[in-house]
Amino acid sequence: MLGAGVVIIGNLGGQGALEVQGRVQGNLRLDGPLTIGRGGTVIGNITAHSVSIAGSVHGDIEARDGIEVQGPGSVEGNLSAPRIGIELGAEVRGLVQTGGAPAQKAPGQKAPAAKAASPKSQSVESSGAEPLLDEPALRPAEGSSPAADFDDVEADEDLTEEARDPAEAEREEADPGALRARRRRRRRKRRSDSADPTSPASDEGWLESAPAQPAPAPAHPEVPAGPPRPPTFQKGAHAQRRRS
Amino acid sequence: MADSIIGPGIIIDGTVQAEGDLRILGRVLGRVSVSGTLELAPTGSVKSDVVGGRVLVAGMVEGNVTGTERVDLLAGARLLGNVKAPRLTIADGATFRGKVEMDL
Repeated sequence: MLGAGVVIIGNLGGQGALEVQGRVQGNLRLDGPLTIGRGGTVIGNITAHSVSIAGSVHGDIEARDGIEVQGPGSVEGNLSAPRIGIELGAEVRGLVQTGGAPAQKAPGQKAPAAKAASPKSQSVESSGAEPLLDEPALRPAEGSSPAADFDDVEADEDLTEEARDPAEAEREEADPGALRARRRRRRRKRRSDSADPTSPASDEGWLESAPAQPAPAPAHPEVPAGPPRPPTFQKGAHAQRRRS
Repeated sequence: MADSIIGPGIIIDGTVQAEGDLRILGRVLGRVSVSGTLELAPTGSVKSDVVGGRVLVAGMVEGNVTGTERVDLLAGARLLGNVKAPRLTIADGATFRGKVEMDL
């Protein structure tokens, strides 16, 4: 844990859990859960197993597992993870991409999912300054999402749910028709996942894209670069299968 | 100030600056500067200069160590560099090679 008075200028890497309440100016690469507490600041790109943000980040964030931007948190940069959660009150400026939509690359059956996902992952911008926009979209997703979206969802899945839903809710904000599309997509995904056991390639590409510049641009080439994702996707798929 | 710890699995390639106390169990490849107590655990290592109010070294340092209050080299410590502090202890079992300057 790095307390409030700690300033690190340079790159930081390693294994295990890390909590930053101070300031890191440099890239952060952690094989473990990363927490950026209130008052914590990271200026640089982050790669970690999972990232929970209550402070502020200027840079891209990639997580193998999930990203959670909490109420007081703010992110200026792109988010990329299988599961992303953005709480009400969090500020996010950048491209948000959940790994749940790596279907893009897959042919045939998965094409619709890709189509539905790509316009929505364009640029999600939410901030406390626009509560009117955010609230209606986020609230139902945060509190009641599991029950509302899946009757059969267990409470112990709530990390998954929490992580997934607010992000998607935000996309809905950009595309109101997405709710239906999303459900359709999920159902389809669930079906196609169980029918598609392929998990090609390594996650090299995924890792290498980590130090990408904060600009939204570099994330786009990533969209068609589906192959690196399927491993994580499979994970998500597994969770979804469990659900059903 | 809150307890800050750089965990055993962490590698920092850059400078670390801390208000308050800091414990290092990992590796730092850059300058470490702490206003309070700096504790370098046996698993910890710093490959640059270390500055603190009170500096406790049980790990490895390759660089100069400055303690505005004191420097303690504990058993098992390895220090390759100079020490500058008004008070210095070197425990039995510590490895140290460098100059000592105590007129601070």
